[in-house]
Amino acid sequence: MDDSTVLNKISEGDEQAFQYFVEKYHKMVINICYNIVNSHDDAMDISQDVFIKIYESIHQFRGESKISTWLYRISVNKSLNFLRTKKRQKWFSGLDVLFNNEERSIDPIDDSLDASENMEQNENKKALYSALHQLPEKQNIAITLNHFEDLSYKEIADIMDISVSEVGVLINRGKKKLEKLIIDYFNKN
Amino acid sequence: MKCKNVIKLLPDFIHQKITGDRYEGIQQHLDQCDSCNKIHRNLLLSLDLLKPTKEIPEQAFYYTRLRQRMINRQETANTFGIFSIKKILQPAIYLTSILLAVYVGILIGSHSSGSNQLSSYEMSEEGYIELFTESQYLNDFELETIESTYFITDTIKE
Repeated sequence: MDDSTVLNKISEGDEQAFQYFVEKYHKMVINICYNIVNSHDDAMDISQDVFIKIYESIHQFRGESKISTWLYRISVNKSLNFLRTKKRQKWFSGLDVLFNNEERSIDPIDDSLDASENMEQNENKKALYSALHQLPEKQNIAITLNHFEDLSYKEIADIMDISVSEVGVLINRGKKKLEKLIIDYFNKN
Repeated sequence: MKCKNVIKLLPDFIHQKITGDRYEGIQQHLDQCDSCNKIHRNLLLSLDLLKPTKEIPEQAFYYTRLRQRMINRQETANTFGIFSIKKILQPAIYLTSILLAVYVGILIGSHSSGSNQLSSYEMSEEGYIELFTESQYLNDFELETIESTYFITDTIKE
């Protein structure tokens, strides 16, 4: 069954087609979300939101772009929304600490890293993700899609709705900044 | 070469944008300085992690969990309709409480007559004079002149 047939069936309310679609793409969606939010549990939740969004707005898909591009776009937007909400919560938790005198910190880095990995690699992962989260949103997404998802500049341009040259600029500037942030991380610790 | 300068030049050093004596100077410093060498090594290791991640394994019962969540969402929507309590009613209650508190505050403020009287005295010089006169009348002795006191005394004597 090709994707356009599946999408047509989903829009007609065919549950089996939706199940087929979810089974086919859920790993890809979880992977994208995980690479952006860096937490397995959060990635699971966000990926479910992505499929609910797709189910509810299936009639809006005009078939002009590839289904994967559409999935990437929704996944990136949902993950970014999640990070923004988390940032806000972090700000409020800072206020809680101020008023309640309680030590309550939210670590942007999830501790669900593989336990078998050694401490040094964990530290390097922490440094990398902490630096990625400090980058401007667009630079973070462009680098994530390019390096972790191995997408081409053209594919990233389609997902982010910008030109290919802009993608190049975002990645170059982002990587320079990323290196400085990693150096700062290890310089301070 | 100082540590500060070496750290600043590390990104260019790892991309080999620095050549000649400068490159060798940094290399020599890294061989001798443990802390700079550690930063250099960690930078390379961290950047090395920027590669496609291994795919997340197959998730059992993913569709079942998704379906359950969709049903839960549907039930919540049916219970509270489009306007949920949390989104509409709660802010409305907060706003009403604030307005009520402001109104009660104004009401209490407008009925406290004492403070208004004092403030009116403060407003004009006449007010001060009136207040002074009133306080004078409180003491009866102040109203009697010295002459009248003497006169009464004289009458008694006569």
